[in-house]
Amino acid sequence: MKKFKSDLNKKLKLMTFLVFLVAVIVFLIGFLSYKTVGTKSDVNDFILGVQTGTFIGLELVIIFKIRKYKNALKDSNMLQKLYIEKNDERNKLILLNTHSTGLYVIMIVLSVATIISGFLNATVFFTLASVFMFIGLTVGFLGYYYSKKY
Amino acid sequence: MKSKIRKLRKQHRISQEELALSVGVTRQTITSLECEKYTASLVLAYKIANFFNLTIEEVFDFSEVEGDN
Repeated sequence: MKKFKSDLNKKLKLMTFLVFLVAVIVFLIGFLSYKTVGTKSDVNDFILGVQTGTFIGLELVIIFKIRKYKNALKDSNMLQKLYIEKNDERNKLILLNTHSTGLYVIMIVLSVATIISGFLNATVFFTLASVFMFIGLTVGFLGYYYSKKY
Repeated sequence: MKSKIRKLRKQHRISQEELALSVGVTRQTITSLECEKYTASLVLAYKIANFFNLTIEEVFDFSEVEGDN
């Protein structure tokens, strides 16, 4: 439990840093959107809105987690529950299966979308192909890493 | 995998939540074990058996596994 507490403290520090970082990003997006108002900028209002919304959502999630971890550090019962929640072997298996199956689905859909986009738009094709290659390389690298680790 | 967890729990009059907390898993994991939806790891099987002061073989039924060999 001591190691878990220490890990939680490290996470809290990292999340506090992230809260400030995300706040700066939200401010910069707001500043950019203010600067582009009334200009013939390529930056779409909708895109700026999505970006702002995403980062504000992220900020709220981080703040919620910080509050949860801080409360757990004060209360031993909550800390134990959090420890069980994070280390439960069934939860870990569910997460592992969800991620691996999800990845297969993403790879299949992405490959089909890449092929179809090739007939419609070159920019979309190269973007999707790059994403597909990046995911493929990452999976390959991680597979090699874990085969050496275990 | 079949197990005697539910039977043992009732004999000892303890809830799923109490057993789950004692062996360091969630209540849902105990439910899944009792419903034979999930197979416990060696460590968890040991913890559960140890909780009831029994051996792993006395809690879990390995006849299906033995049949595979």
